[in-house]
Amino acid sequence: MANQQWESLGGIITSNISSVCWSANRIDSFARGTDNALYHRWWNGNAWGGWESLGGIITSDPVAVSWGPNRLDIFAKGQDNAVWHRWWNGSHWGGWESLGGIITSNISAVCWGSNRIDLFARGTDNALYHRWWNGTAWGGWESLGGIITSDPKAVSWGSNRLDIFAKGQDGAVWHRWWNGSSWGGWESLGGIITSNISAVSWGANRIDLFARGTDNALYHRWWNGNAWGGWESLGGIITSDPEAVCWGSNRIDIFAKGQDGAVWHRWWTGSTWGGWESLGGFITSNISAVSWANNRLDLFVRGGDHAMYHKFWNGSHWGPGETLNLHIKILTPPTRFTINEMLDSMRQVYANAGIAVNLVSTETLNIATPALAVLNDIDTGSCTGGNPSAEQIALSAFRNNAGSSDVVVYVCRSVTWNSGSLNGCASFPANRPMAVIASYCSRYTLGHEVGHVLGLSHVNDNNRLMTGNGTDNITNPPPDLVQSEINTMLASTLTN
Amino acid sequence: MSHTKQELIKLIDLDEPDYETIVPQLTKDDIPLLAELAEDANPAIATKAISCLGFMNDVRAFAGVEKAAKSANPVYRIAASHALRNMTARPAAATLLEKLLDDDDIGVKKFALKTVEASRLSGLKEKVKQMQTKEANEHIRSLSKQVMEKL
Repeated sequence: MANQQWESLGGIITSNISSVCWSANRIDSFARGTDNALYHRWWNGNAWGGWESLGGIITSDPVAVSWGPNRLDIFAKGQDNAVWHRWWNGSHWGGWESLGGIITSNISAVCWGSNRIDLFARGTDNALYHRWWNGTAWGGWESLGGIITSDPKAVSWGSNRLDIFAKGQDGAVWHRWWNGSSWGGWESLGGIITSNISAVSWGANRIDLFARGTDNALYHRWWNGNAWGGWESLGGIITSDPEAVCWGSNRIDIFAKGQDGAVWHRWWTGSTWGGWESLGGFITSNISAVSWANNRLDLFVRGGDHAMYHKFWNGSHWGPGETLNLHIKILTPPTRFTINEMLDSMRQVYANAGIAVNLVSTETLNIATPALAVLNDIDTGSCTGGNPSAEQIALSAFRNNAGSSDVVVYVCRSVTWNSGSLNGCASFPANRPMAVIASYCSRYTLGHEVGHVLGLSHVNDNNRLMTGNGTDNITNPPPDLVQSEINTMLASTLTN
Repeated sequence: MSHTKQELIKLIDLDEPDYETIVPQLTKDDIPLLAELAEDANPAIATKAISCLGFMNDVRAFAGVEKAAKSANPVYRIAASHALRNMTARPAAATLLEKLLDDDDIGVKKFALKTVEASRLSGLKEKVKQMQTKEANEHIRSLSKQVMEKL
C-alpha cells in the first residue's frame, strides 16, 4: 500500500484544478474560488507561492498551458459563455482578454510549438470549435463539425500535429486530426464511454486514450503509429474522469477517483501494467497530474473541505511524508537476509506511514578492535526503553558522525538480554538513538526495532510490524502499521 | 501436553522473547523437541531454544545446553554460556562453564564470565583470576577483574 498522505495547500476552490510545468521543479496550479475568480498557486522549486487572485468571473474549469519557460496561458469560459484569456509573460500578467465564441463545454488547450496555442471547445450547436494563436495573432473560431457530448480533449505528438477526441452522440469516442496541412476525420474509435477522455502522447506518432466504460472500469485505446489497438479494460471502478500523464518514453501513469473517494493509480512500465494502488485521500474533483522530470509526478485535487491537496512521486516514494535518516553499522554481516532485503522490507512498511527511509551510510566496523570485539555479541541487560546496558552505551560511541536525530542500527553477531537470546533491542542512551539487531534476525526485525526507537510498543497481531509474536511469524506480509502508530512515528523528533 | 514442533517455533521465535512468559507454557514433554530445535540450522530458532532449555530444570534440558556448548557455531555456544546461569545448581555446570571460559571465541568467554558473575560461582575463582592477567583482550581482563570482586 502506498503512502496515503496528502499535503493541504489551502484555499476554497469551486472547480477542477489545472496544473502546468514550464520548467523543472516549477508548477503552476489554477482553480476557481468561491467568488468565481481565477486563483493561482505556484511552486518555485523551494516554496509555494499564492494563493493569488487573478480576478475575472469564470464559469468553467480553467485550463492552463505553457509554450515556453516562464510563460503561462490560462483560458476559461466567462459569464457571457465566451472564452477568456489571461497570460503570464515572464514579468507580469496580461488580460483578461475575451476570445469570443459561445461555448458549452470546458476548454482543451494544447501547444505544439513555441508561441503556439490551439483551443478547442463545444459550440452551441454541439459541434467542435477551434481557435489558435500562431505567434502573432488569433485565428478562428472555425467549426470542425460533429456532434460531441463531452469536453473535447486535444493532444499533440509533434510539431504542427493535433489530435482531438470527444464522445459522440452514440457514446463512442470520435477523433479528428490536423496533419500539418489539413484536417482528417471524424473517425469513430468505438467504445461506449461514460466520462471525459484523457489523451496523452509519450512519443512521436503515439497516442494513448483513457476513459470510463459503462461498467465504470477504466478503458484504454492506443495509436502505435500504424494502427489503433484496444479497447482494453484496465479494470477498477472509477468515479471521476481519468487523468493520464507521461514522464518518459513508454511510461504512462493514470489516476482516477475510486468508489471510496480516494485517488487510485495504475501505471504502464513499458512492458506491463502496475496497480491499481490506492493513494488515499478523499477527493471532490478530478485529478490534475503533471510531471516536470523523469520519474516525477505531482497530483493536485480538491479535498472534502474544498481546499487543494497535493501529493508527489519523487522517483522512489510517494510524498508528502517525512524522512528517517538511518545508518547501518555492521559488526557481523547478516546471515538470513541481506541488508538490502531488510531495508527494502522496512521501506515498504514505512512508506505506508509516509516515512521515507534514507540510508545515509553503511559502515563495516572493525571487530578486530578490542573495544568492538567484545560488543559483537552484545548484552543488552534489561532491554527496556531508556535503560541501555553498559555495552549498548559503549557501542553507541561508534556512531561515527551520525547526527543526534539519525538512527543508527548496529548488526551484531548475537544479541542477548538478561533472560536469553533476542533478535534485537532498541534501548539507547539519550541523544544517541540506536538499535542492535542480531545477524540471524528476521527480514522485518530492522523495521520493528526502529519502530521501537520511534516510540512504538508491541501488539498482539501477527499482521502488524510491531507484533510481539515475532516478525518471523508475520502472516500477511508486508506487515501493517495502524494510524495511531503512524501518528506516533510522525510525531517522533527522529522523523522530519 | 507437549507442543508440536511448529507450535514451539511459533512460541519461541520472537524478536524479543520474554522468557518469563514463555517458559511457564512449556512442559518437560517439550524438552526433546526443544533440544532438537537447539540444533536447528536457523540461529534465530536455535538460540531461543537453548535459552528456554536453560530454564528447564531437567537433566535432558541440561544435556541440550551441554550439546549447544559444544556446537561448532559460536553463536550457539554463547546462548549456552548464558543459559547456564539458570543451571548452576547442577555440578556439571561449573565444569562446562570452565571449558567455555577457555573458549577461543571472545563472545563465548564474555558470556561465560557473566554467568560466573551472575551465579557467584566461587569454584571458578582461580580460573577467573588467571584470566585477569592472561586474556589477550583488555576488556575481557577488565571483566574478569570485575567478576573476581564479586566471587
